[in-house]
Amino acid sequence: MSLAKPFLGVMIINMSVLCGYMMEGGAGALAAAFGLSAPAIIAIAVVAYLYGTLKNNVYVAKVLSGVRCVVIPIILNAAWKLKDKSLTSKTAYVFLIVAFIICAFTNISKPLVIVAGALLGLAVWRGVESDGAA
Amino acid sequence: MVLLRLFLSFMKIGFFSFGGLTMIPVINDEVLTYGWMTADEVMDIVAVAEMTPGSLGINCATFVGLRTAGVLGAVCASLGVMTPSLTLCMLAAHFILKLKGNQTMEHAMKGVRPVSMGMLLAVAVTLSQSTFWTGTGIQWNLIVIAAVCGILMFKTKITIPKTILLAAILGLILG
Repeated sequence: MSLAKPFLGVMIINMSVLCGYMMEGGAGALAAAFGLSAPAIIAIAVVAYLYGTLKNNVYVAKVLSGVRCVVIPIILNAAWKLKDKSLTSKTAYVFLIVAFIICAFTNISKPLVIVAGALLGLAVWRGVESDGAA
Repeated sequence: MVLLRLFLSFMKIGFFSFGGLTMIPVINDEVLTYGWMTADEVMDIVAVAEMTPGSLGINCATFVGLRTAGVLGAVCASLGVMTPSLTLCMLAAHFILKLKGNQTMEHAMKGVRPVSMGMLLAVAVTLSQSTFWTGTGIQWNLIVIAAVCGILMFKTKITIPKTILLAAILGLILG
């Protein structure tokens, strides 16, 4: 679990890949990832089909307009949950604000922003620790 | 080559997200750029993904792939979003002991975490614009729904699927 978390990608898949790999090697990892995804893929296929046919129904449209609203609090809630782990210093707040401004007001690609965050993080916190002041 | 494009786009999404909702900013950019979905549809799929089993990444990939290029599209997009996990993690499993508690990784993540948080907040703002502002004016009824659900979510331990259900009912009444 603690190994799966830091890696990029879908965490639950990372976990299944790690387990699969440890037990059966590469093939085990592949099998684990597929096994994990299969139910989700089937469920979504059904939903996607229904979505396509029902989207324009008046009542369904009303329900969806309500559901869309809740996505924003869900996102804010997710951001809030990241707070404790991510905002550990003043520098982290600077990272947060700069990233917010870049993403909200420019079209700079998101992957680029993340890579920049990783490199700057490396530069900043490595420096901090070698100075002995953490 | 829409299949290849689906695969590559979702591989990018897989590489640059850390599971869960931190994927939304990247997903939003990719599917809007290629015109695969509208902003409204992105929000629908996020809600759907929260309610169905499986991770957001896989759910989005299947949904987008299926709607863009049928079953093959769904397979390509899903494989794409899984590729980073598969390749990186197999490597990691291989070097498992060396990477445990790796300092470099931890330093990089210290930079990435606040950045992801900023990106999430930014995408919340962008999506708010497309949801609450419809050319003709502010949709006050929708803001009320969002506020009610938001307050419930922050103040109580209500689960996300229940909140979505509540929003659906409110939407039926007020929408």
